[in-house]
Amino acid sequence: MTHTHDTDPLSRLQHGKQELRATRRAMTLPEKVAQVVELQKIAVVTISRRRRLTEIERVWPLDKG
Amino acid sequence: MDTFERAIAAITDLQQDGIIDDYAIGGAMAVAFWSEPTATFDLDVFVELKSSGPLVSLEPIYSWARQRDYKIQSEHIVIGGLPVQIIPTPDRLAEEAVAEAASLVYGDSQVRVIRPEYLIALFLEPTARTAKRLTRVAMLLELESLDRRLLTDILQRYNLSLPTPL
Repeated sequence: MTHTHDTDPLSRLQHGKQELRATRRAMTLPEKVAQVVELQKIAVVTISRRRRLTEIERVWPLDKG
Repeated sequence: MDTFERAIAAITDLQQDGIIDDYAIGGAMAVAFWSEPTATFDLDVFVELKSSGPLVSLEPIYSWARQRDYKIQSEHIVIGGLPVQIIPTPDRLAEEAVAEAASLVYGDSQVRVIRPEYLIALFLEPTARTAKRLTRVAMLLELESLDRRLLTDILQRYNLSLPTPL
């Protein structure tokens, strides 16, 4: 039997997005912080195209120290 | 211990040094811990200050930061490159949110984080209710682990309501 989300492109997309979000929710806290840093890298590029970055809009130096 | 864990350790030191009574992470990082990561550049930390006079002063915290050579930038204390915003609990809801915060494990450390039910209530306060925060409310409402009875209780006690059509 074929599920709707296997055939309908929109349902497949929604299903894939739900799976991705569930994976993100299940990350450990250090993994989530690492993901925030990846999002910061994207954000500084997009923000700096529109305006000057503020003092705190910097990518966190997430070293293992 | 990574940079984030060192920032948490510094905040714990604030408590051990007797400058604050209690703390809990709020804002976007708290949402990330309960739900999904989103882009944020600072770490919001709600604190119960030791001094409980009518005037709230962050000077003891800034003084503590200067003694440790932490840079102060746009009202943030920069700890290991992480801008940390220290927010004295502004009202009874925030005080309760800090008191009822959960202790989560981060690496080898414990970190106190405002529970999702309280985060939702804080985001719904009239002074905080922005479009960005309502998006975070929607993310938290999707959590299977959300205690809906507790959320209803908090919203009723603080006269807050969920936006329609959430």
